[in-house]
Amino acid sequence: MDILATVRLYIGEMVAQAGPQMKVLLMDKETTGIVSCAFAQSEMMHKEVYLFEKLDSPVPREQIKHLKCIVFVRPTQENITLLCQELRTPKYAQYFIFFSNIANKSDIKQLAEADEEEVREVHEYFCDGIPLSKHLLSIGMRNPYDASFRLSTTSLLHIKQTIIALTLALKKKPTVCYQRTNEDCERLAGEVAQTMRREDGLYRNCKEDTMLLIVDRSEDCATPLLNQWTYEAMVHELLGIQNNRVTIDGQNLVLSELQDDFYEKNVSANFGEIGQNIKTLMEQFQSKTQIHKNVESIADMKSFVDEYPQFKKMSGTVSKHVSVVGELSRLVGTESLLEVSELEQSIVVDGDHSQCLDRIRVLLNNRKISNLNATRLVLLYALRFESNQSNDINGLINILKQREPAASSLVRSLLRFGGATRRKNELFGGQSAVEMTKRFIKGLKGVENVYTQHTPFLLQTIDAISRGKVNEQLYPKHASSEFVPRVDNIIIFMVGGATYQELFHVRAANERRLQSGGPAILLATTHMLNTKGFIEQLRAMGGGQ
Amino acid sequence: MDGGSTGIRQGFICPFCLVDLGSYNALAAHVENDHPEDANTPAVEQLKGFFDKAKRSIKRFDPGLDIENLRGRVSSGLTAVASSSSMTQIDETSPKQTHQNTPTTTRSNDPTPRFEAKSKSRERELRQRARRPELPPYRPEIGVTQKHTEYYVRCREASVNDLAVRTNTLIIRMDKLINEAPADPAKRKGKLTNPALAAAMQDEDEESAKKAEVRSLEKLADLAQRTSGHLRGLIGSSKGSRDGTEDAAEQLRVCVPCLSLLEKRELQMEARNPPALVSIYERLIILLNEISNLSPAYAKMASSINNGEALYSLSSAEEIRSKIARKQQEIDLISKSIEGDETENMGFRERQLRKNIRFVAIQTLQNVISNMQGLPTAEKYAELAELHRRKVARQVEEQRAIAQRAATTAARAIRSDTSSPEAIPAAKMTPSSSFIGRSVDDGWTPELSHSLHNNPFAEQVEQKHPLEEQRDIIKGYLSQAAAAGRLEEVEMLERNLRDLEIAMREHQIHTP
Repeated sequence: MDILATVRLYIGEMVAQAGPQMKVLLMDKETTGIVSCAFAQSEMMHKEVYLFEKLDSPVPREQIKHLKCIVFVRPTQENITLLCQELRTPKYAQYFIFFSNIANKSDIKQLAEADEEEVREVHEYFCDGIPLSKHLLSIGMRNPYDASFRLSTTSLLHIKQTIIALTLALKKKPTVCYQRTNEDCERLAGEVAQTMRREDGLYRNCKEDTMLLIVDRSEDCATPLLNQWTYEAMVHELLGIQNNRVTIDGQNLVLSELQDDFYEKNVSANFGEIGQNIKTLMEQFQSKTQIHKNVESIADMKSFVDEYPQFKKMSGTVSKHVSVVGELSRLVGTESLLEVSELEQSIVVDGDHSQCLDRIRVLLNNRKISNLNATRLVLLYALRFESNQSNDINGLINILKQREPAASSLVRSLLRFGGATRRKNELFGGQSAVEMTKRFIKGLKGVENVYTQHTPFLLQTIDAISRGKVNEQLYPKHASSEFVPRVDNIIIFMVGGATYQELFHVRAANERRLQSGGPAILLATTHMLNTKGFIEQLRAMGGGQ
Repeated sequence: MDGGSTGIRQGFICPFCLVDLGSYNALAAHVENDHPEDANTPAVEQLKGFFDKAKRSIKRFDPGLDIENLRGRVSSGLTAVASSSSMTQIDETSPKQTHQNTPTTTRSNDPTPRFEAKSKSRERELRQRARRPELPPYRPEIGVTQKHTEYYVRCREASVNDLAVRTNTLIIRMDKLINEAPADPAKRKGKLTNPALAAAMQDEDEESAKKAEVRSLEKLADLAQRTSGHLRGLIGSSKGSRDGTEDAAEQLRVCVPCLSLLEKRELQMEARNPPALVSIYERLIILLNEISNLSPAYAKMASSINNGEALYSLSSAEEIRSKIARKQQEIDLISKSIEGDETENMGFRERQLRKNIRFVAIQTLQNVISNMQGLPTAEKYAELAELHRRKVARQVEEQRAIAQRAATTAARAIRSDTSSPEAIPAAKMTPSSSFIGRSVDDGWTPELSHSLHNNPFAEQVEQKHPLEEQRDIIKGYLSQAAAAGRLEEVEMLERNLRDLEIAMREHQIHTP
């Protein structure tokens, strides 16, 4: 399952349907994100698509009568209305309409009545989510929850539509499973299964070798609260990736595995390795050009790139990564991230209460620690030691209040959203004999890297499914969904946002598949989280109480 | 082919540079070394059908080695080629091949030990394969699509018909109005002969001018003329009176809905005569395609010539080079004219559109230029050619010597030593990995045209001489290559055709 390749094929086919001649691509807010992650703008231009317009742009669009227009939009009521207006006063010569999902017959009729003879083709091409990489699809929906921590009606509908389109894009007719402890997941699973039955005709040629698992973020709130050290996850945590783009010093940089070899190779590498890999490239360049210069630190790298423009040419995109890594390393230093990260890991992995409490108190009073990091530590503490009788959550909230006025409301929201009573799982390791033994062995072996000890809860689920041992108590099949005899593919939909750390494990599972088998995994989610985004989500849900 | 004919060259001739290498081993090694399938050079540059087949047949034809070894190699070669289509298929077929074919085809005096050794290594290989899970290579494909065009068109027809009727009625009314109007402009004012239209227009008095719009008679007549041909006569007659200054009398009032109908009509008419930009742009795209097709062919020629090879002539390379240069110039000029200058009056988006077209043209050109290798001067080329000749001759000698040595050792050791065929490095003999990774999307391959074959409906099929048949096929390829603008292939095919015709003369087959 490679959703990025599939979406590229869909978009390529749209262009092919429109045929030769100059073209304009008319999109909505969501489909703009889809196209921008699947193709570079210049790539589209080489396909004779020279202009990109938004259907809902507030500025009236210019009339250019010699253009063919490819319309790629979601079939929402709003878009249908706008399209009718467009067709009544057409700005382009011909229209080729592609809906990203199942459109109502009545809407198509409404369009036809507004049109005279400009429209040549009307299709449904099922790309209704942003393909961020091969194994990752995101809706790009900020905070899908309402104040009661439940999915709002509009988000639920949108998520359902995206899931339906995703299965159709991959030509899969999956069995639908869900996280039993979450009502939204159950409702979603039901609606997806129902739609699949209703649209049976569309699923005619779809394979029955896939499991769709719908889970909720509340199952694991620890992962989005941690600092990350693998490249992609780290960039998102510290700089924020928006549809594969990141902004540094006002400069917009594209981080796409599709167009950037170095990024593709290093996306899962840890912070130390990336610096090493850039250094190796520079040394290769030096030996080729017989330059002798000592490149040791990131600062050296930066000045090297400035001094040797030829390197920029040879290495292509590597110089871009020098500035990204440079910025990361600056932040690691100024915000004492190593110290913070070590403590975070101690909280979620070792869980020695009194030691953690002391260290958090020290860091909360350290001015070098940013407000965000102070908040994350307190939230992690609350999540971890919620049920520890001697915990001092209130004491920490009081210290944090000086930096974060909403401290107590944030902690309350977190515990209501993803606390022990709601998640009903063993997020921080169970008390079973197997778990104990595992921890014991780990203790004997020692840890390789103190900053990356924690693994997301999702990994346990992935491992279990890969071994064919799904806990049917936790993740039952929906009653109205059909049974699939052999599962070779898993689509995990995570409601409420996923992290790049989770994607890291999905990537790893897919790579393992090449060596030793196991199912292919695709991660889909409402949006990509980092700590900042997650805290904002909690803030919105807390409603400032 | 019959021996003794002087026109046909026989022996171990390299199909790429036509040098006789004396022995199979030398030829095979020469092909591997001097004509490697470089994964970096685009597939276009190789006349796929011809070259690949020639190479593969060289690799397969291996008299010096035992058949079993060869078979293993060929089948692994096949698997390498086939692996791109399906891995599971290979796993099923290859064991069958080894177990069924090997014993029967082994020609050696003492087949048993050798067979065992081979099959053991085979088994090991199979076991290794078995340990890996059966993962068919993932081929992304487009997902489900659903087409609604038919339903849409059906829905649209009803409303479009209604609109067409309204527009036509309007045009006919106007026809009458203009046609039956008095020739004298003074009389025309306010005296509409069509009572219905007159009534409609009188409704709109001067005060409600906001709703009504005034259009010149000329414009309307123009519109009407283009819509219904029978108005032409009227235009001709009214032209005389219009040559002077615009007369207020020559204006008609039209209500807003009718005006919008007319405007739509007008726009549709305009769409039928696209602006100049469209045809200029079409020319640009043709040129861009041509240059993208020419440049890889040139790259191949240039690198061969810079190598001192005699496969292409320097003058033909120069010709293509100047052809590319001319096209570059034209592309630059056309795209510049499309971009236009700042003073031209056009909308922001239109300007952006034109800029982007220019951008694509420039980017394509940059790509072409960066891949263009220079050509040596005639003197320098003569030097290079000499160097190359010497190098090849030296290699041929070396290969012959090695082959001879190998032959003698092999003869000595043939009974006991099974590894004698390894005198040729095994790694070099296995099909190169670029066989698998070769992209074919940009290549050009001629297709067998049916017209070249015998008419299937003819009662008596006239049996053609194989050479004659081959000549017809090459001719077909040639015309296809010429049509596709593949200069390189044209040259090669022409050479091929000449050789064939010489051969046919030798065989006293009639050549037209």
